[in-house]
Amino acid sequence: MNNRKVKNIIEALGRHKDADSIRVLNELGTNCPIDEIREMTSKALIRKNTKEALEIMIVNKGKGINDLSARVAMCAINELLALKDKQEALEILENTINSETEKEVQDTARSVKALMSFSA
Amino acid sequence: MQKISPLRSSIEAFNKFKATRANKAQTAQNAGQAASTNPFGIAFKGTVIQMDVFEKKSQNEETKQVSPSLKEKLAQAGKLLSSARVATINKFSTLKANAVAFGNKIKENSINAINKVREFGNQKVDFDFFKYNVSNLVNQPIGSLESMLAAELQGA
Repeated sequence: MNNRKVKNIIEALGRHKDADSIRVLNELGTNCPIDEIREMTSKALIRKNTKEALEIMIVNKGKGINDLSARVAMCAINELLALKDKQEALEILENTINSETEKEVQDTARSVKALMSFSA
Repeated sequence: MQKISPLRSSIEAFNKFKATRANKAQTAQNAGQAASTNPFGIAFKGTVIQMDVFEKKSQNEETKQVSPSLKEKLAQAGKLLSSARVATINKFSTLKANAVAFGNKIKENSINAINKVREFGNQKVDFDFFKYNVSNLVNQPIGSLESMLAAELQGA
């Protein structure tokens, strides 16, 4: 695997205007067993700052802020905190806390929302 | 038996010493002359040049009227001048040889470079750097990006 090529492709998918790029990143990137790839995918999806992309990173168990790898999860949280426009992310976090999903996911969303409120 | 007086024996010894010294002086003078045949160490077209080469008959005739000491001086100056001229010619010929060698070297290097460029031209060079540049990838369709990413991750 050529790391530079993969990094560039994921970054290009992140910048791509086509909404289908989110599906590709979700299918190939977030399901990859390599931590580094999932980390890059999380960054690319969060930087898109769209409802669909942020939902993948916040609501899904085992992806984004709920990733089993602490490194990947922390990277996703950092990326959320670095967003200029946090409105969309905060709304999704609020919905996740109030929804009937797993408690673990709700707790993570609550913690991240608190962090984002403090950093704003 | 004849008795040799100390005075006579000393005179004989002195004479012998004198003869030996004269012999030595003569030998040294010959050696000096041999060494001075090529005082400047100048060679012209493979021949060692001596100062006598530069003597001119016409010049000698011209300087007949001049006093001998002045004539000698002029001849000496002429010889030196000619020697210097030959030395300069040698120097220029060396420079010329160096310049020609340098030119040949440049020519060979240029030919080698052209051959290398031709070799590269025959090969298909894959500009990986430009192909996988982010700004270039963004303009490509999602399908091709998906296949590229899948191929890269499959190889991992």
